[in-house]
Amino acid sequence: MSNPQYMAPSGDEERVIELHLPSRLGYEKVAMDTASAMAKRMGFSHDRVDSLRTAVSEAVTNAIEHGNQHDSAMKVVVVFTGSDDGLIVDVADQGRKILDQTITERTPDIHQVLHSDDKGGWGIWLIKELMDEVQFSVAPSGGNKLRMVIHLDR
Amino acid sequence: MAQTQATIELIFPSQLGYEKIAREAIGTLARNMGFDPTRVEDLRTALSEACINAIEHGNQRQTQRRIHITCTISRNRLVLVISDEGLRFHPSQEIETATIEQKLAGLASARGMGLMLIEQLVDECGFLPSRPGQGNRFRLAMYNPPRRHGSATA
Repeated sequence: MSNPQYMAPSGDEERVIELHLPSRLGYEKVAMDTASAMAKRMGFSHDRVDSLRTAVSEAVTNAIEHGNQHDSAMKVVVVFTGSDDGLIVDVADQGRKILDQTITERTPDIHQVLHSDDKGGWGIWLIKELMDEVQFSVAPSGGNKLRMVIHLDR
Repeated sequence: MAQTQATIELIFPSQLGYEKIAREAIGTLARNMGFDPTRVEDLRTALSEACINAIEHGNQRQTQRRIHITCTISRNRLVLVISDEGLRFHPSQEIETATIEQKLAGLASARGMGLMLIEQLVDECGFLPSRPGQGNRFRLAMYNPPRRHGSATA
């Protein structure tokens, strides 16, 4: 049994689920269903669960396509950490391609996107629209790490 | 999805309820592999039982202990290995010798019903030999098309 890459802070209850996926399109569905099962268990509404599913799907797809360049031997690691305030989802790739930080800040221009060959760039924008907090950083593996947080309304 | 062999790992705390999240994740994988819905349900039930055993028995419900699921999929086969931290080893001998009638009549421990159920639901199942420093490792496999009630192999 290998050690989990992520150690949760000590507490009464450890609500951390770690998922390792091959970098192949289709596996993002496993992350989506894991996310929604955890979010439902935590009491998120259907709408919020749907938003989370979409955001997780975009983040994992980005990691597969861009970060790991579709190399199925490379892993995407998704860590779900639940607390009384909400759910944190960390998506890390192994960084074959490091994310251009300017992408994380801009809002895509629909006219420009429609006329360019690259139809990408919407994923990150969408994730930021759907989630309460989004952060980009470098994963311990050296890859890209995207952290998104969804708050429980109380 | 799953043209060649791929490995997915899922790690979660030893707390009842988390097996439902594992069930969603692995159910999605099995569905995407083309298993028919009845068999996906069988797999989901078998996995839940195996996880509950690992949580209650192997890890003695100590939430900081982890359950580790390794799922290996190839074109026609899905293999799950459910590992715990082995605070208590599984008395598999006792379980194999008692019949369900004996259990129901109170002549044998009511524990181990889960294993009997798992045997009915999947193509192969059984404990893997223990390795030093490892806990219980329970393996179950399903084939598409099915190989019903094959012998339990390690």
